[in-house]
Amino acid sequence: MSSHSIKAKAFLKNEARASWHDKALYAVREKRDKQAYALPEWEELRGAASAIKEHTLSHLAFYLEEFERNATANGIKVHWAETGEEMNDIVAQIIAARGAKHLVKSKSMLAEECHLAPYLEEHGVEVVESDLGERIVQLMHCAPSHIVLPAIHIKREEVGELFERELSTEHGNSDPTYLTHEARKHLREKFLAADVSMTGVNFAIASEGAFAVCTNEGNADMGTSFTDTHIAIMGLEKVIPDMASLGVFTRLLARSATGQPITTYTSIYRKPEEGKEIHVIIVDNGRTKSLADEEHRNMLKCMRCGACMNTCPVYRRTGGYSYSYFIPGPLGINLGMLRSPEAYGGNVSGCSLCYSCSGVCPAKVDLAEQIYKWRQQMSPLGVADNKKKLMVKAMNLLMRNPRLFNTALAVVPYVPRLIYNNSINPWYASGREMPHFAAKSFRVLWREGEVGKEEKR
Amino acid sequence: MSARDSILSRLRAVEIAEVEKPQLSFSPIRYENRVEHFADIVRNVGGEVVEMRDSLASTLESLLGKGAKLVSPLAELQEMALNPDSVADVHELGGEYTAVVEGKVGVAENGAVWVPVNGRRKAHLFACQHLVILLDRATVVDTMQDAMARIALDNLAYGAFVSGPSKTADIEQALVMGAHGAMRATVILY
Repeated sequence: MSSHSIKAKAFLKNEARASWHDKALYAVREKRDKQAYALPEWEELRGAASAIKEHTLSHLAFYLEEFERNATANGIKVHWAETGEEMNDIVAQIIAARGAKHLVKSKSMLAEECHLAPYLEEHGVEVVESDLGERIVQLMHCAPSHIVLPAIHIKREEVGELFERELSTEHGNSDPTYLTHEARKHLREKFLAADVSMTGVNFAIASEGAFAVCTNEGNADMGTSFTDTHIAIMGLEKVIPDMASLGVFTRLLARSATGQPITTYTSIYRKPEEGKEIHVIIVDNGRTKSLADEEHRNMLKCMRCGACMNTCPVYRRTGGYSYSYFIPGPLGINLGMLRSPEAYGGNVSGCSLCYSCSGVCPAKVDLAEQIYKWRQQMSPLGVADNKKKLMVKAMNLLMRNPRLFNTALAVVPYVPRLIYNNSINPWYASGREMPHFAAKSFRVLWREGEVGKEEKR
Repeated sequence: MSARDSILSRLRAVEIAEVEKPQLSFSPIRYENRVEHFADIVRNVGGEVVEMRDSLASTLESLLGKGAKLVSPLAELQEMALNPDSVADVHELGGEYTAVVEGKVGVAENGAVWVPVNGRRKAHLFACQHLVILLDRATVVDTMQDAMARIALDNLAYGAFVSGPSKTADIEQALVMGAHGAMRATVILY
């Protein structure tokens, strides 16, 4: 059994919750559809986003240099990091140089990828997640289960209990409005006490040396408003050519992510305010390797909207924690394989090949096609399930040998079902019976003139 | 070799077919009544739209009542509002007040307003309880693509498209206004 199947079993034990998770995410998918259908040019927008990303990827060094040159001229300090460790080091150095101790950050998948928060905490820096969902999972000491909706797996009663414990909220009150406003007060104190802020980068605009950050809560901007030092971290694929490109992407991002026409705040940082500093860290951490991989370089077109997760029938029914990579769903299956097939190969089976993810992706990343390609590579990469491999070998032998095949078909109706209708058979799943074999095969019926008789009568 | 140089040289070494920059030749949606559509969307995303009265002061009074605490960089409000650039410590902007700012472009497709910040500070845009944005109806365009063609970053430090009040749905997908930023957002059209 794959690592995904094993963990999915645990998630599915709580049927009511699994069903809620499925429906909640499908509702987000439906909101996305409504937004998409309201724009006659939706498909052209997707095409444009895809083409802009492909163009940028084929000139990545050029655009990164242009971004660096313009950002530097604007007074932004640009850093480069080969790996996650290097990025963490640079962040720690910037913080230490200012004698800072309190970092308030907005959501960044790159920070998760590089395990930034635990690293900084080891170095004596308090790290406060300021996105409400991220704060909830941080206080619970667990990981986000979705890249846009980090706490989608948690119920309001659990948040109520957590906040009662951590923020001294009223006992038994799990009203989302009450809890959100209590978190607002709690985090307002953190914003005002922070000495360094961190944000991700949704889009780095090469022609302007500026970058865009999108949030609904306003947490990224709250952080940067009250601190003198702002550190923005970005994967090197986040660069786009110009403002016209930003016009295309901002039309797609929130519509695809949450079914909103745009996020509440789309902030463009161009230069530090008087007396302040902005640092941008451009991070590789395996991305140039992905770019060189022709079959999978499309993953670098992703803008992290999460639409592929919301539509995925497997993700919706198994939850983010069933995947061993920190990003779940179709996106995570692919990114995990690019990171390490040995470590994350157990996610590849978490896909029904329905191709819905490819259909909703605003940048036309061929997520499902790539998962299919990875499946062909499981054996060469040495990460295929041995039991499945053996079964495929047996099937291969059977299918290539007509005499053996026909004999097997004649015999199989007499084989007790127990022998194959059990969990040793890798194609068997609980809740899904193996099919019954017919007493006579089609071939036999044909030979005996039985085929078509029903209709003739 | 520095991380910068080795990353750039590795990127240059990747064999990848050159892809032309696409011409964005498709025409974006055109709304029959742009301003009306803009106002509808602002309301849909939890904001309010009101018309300017005889003066800004009287419009604000009818919106907020008398004596509301105001923070604004607008010259015409200097007698009744605190100028965010005048405070010595930005933390003074952390409390509860209404911020009044000027928008430069409205976007019909999503109710967003482009608010460039020319002054020293932007904290009031986010820390306020209530954000009020003045907007000339003639600046409303159809889409973000049209908006991007209109805005010039020039020597700007910062600017934001703001669409409605701050919000979150992080607890069981229940929509709540006022996550961190404005709990209430109003666009005054003139």
